[in-house]
Amino acid sequence: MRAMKLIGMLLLLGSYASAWAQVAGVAITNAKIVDETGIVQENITIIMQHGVVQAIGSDLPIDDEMDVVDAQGNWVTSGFVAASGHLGLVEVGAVTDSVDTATQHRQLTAGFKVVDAFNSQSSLIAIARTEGLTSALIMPSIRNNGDEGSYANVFSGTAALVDLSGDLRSVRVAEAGVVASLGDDGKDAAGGSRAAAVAGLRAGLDAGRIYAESADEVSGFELPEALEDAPFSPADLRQFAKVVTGELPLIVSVDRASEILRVIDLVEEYSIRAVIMGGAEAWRVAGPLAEASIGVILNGENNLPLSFDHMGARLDSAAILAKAGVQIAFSGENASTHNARNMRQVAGLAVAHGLPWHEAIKALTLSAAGLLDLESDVGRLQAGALADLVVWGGDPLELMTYPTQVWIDGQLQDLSNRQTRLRDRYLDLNDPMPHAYR
Amino acid sequence: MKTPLQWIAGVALLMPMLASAEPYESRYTPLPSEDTLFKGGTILTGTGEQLDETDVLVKDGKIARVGKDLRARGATVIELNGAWLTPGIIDVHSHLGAGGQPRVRAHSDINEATAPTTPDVWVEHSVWPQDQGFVTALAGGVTSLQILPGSANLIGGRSVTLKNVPALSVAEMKFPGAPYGLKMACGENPKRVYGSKGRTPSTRMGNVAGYRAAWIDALDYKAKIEKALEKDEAPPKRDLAKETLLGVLDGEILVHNHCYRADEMVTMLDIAEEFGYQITAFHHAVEAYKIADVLAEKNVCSAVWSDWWGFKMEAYDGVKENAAMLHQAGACAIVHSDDAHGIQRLNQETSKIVGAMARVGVTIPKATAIQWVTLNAAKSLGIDEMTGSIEPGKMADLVIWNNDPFSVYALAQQVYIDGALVFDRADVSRQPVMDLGLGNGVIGGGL
Repeated sequence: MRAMKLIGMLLLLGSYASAWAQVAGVAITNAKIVDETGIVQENITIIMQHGVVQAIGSDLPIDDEMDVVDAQGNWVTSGFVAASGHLGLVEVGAVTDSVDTATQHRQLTAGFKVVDAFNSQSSLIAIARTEGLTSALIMPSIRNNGDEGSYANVFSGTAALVDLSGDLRSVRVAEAGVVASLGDDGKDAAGGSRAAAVAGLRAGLDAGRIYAESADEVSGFELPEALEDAPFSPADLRQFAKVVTGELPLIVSVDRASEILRVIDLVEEYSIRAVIMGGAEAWRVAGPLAEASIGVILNGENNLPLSFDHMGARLDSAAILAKAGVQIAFSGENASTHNARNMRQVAGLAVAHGLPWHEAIKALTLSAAGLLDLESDVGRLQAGALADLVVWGGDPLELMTYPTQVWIDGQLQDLSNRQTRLRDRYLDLNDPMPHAYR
Repeated sequence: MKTPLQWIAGVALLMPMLASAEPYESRYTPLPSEDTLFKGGTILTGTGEQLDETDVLVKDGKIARVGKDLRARGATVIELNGAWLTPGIIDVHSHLGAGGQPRVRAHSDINEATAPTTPDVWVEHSVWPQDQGFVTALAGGVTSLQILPGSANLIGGRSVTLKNVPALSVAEMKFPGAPYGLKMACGENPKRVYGSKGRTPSTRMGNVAGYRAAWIDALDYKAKIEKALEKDEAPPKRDLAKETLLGVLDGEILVHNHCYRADEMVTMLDIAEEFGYQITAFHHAVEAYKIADVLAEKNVCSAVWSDWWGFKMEAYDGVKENAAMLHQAGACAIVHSDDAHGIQRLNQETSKIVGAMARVGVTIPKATAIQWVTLNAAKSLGIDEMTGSIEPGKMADLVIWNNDPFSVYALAQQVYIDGALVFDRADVSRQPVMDLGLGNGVIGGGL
């Protein structure tokens, strides 16, 4: 009843919602839901209003003014979160004019904030949304400076969390984590050795400590005296300071088990938060990762020795990590950016290789956002969380399943996109008029 | 007395002159097998049928009978208990072995990107049979695959079709009796690779001029041979490049044409018409759905992805329903991978297409869709008389699935090639690991 009281209060306060239905709220009835421990409940009602889930339960009273959507016993989940990739930062991969994932600028490493390039109107966003993705972490990619490396270059920038409504204002968390690379990429960026890449991470964290301690004394483009010769700009240093103070996690792209251990060392030494991205051999160090509360955005699709960093890649990595208590989210070889929609296929693959089904759903929702921000209200199916909800036509992980309804911030979403429009245009090739009239 | 030339002309005018008739021939021999009776399966035959509670008898590596309540003395009996049995998956577009794992520069043998027209190269001479990717593909149910040269070149060289068995040389993998293919490529890749070197082609019109020049040269070579024959003179020196091109004009070598855009596919069909050859399949064919009627009429297959799109401009108009829309228009649809990961899940890629098409109310039966990765693929490789479906007389290339193969949870449980059990998810001794993995921690078993 507390929830209803809240709804009543919000009804009075409701001023920004454009449609009456939004003010009155939406009730999804006859839903099947799963919680993070795997408990399944059926015939559930979910009430959302003002962009927020107000109540979840059986036998909830429904206001006459509310829009009622009968889920017909189908699965309803929190909207899926793409845990990596470059949605809104790339339109066409090989068309460099349309790509904003990296900078070669020497004075911009951690301070390169991809959020400022985010294009919510990108055609990729509606395509992802059609398959039940409602938010995405958007990542910078490692800079490629050719042969000339600098250990500062192991930092590629700052990631953001966006929603996939396509609304012009759809940034959720402008700064979600500072991204760096070890492994082959880090080595190349740092000047030719994995050791140089680790030295780069340390340099950034050391500089961040100094900057954090002297932040009150400097402003704008000024540098604390101790950092005048450091290879970092003030824009970078501000980000490093956020990492060492725990405000932002460090997201490290790394695959080899021995290098993952270096990250664990740094987490302990600097008392920072970190997330592993890629993690081909993370399963080998699942225990230490769990102990250090380091989550993994796992490339769940790779089982090949793609490089000497991936010798131990295996498809049951997700199952091993989850069993050890490591929080996981997914990326994939063919499940990023343009095909972020394939994240759920990658999750299904992990289930085929031993991951409990509810853990896969958790990886696509709660963990994908929660890895970076424990307090995140994205990806939760509970009262008070953002009303990103999906009604699925079947098992959300299955290949033939599509959402029947998607809400982001409580707003019902359009599920057509550029590809469905192309499909519809060419379904009937017998039209006597050229395609451009169809 | 017949001159040597007249004698050769009687054998094969346009095939490799003065060389052994079958250089680099297959030395494939099937692995040891037992006669096996698969009982009570849900069978997608590859011919468009689904047979429930049906048995398949394999004898001497071949499918002997398909039917109910079969009995066979001495055969090993495998109770399927309703499990799904399909023909082995066939990938018509792979670079495994030519770009092996790990993907170091030393393993980069896909593109002979030193000249835009290289019909003289044969990709089998790049194939390293120790690529672990063959094994993971096998664990995905892939029993045959075509390895193609890359798309840097307008004409990239000869392809090779392989049986997916671990071997020490490519010759021991070559699919016996499979015709060669010729890789051609349209669009962005050739013009980018050579344009960036400041040479032709740097435009799509440069691409077309390049193909035409190659075919004109081939016809000129053919005329010289014919003239020499006529005059009883010595033939021109052997020319590997032109021998391959003449093989295409002769219908012996099948054209596999990487091409994304609808307009370019139409142009390529015009070029084929100008020089008198058939394009067997367009590969990638991201816009094939826009000209599905034309492709049906011209009898050209399209080998496509389920959902790859947007990685370059010519891939911007990809739709998931591509293969399904081709099929609906009566054209030959194939689902291919071009990827060491995608090849492990071609059943799933097919499923995604069926699921997408269902959104517009078109239901494509699983028994039909499985053909996109079995019989249709075999047809485009010229091996459909031998494999690609579960029919008596065909090679026993089979996959038992642990779930509906159209499910995301399905894994190949057992894989048979020519009746031999070559992969078994439940038996570590049938989970190959290539040499690279020894002492390196590489996990076998399709994991």
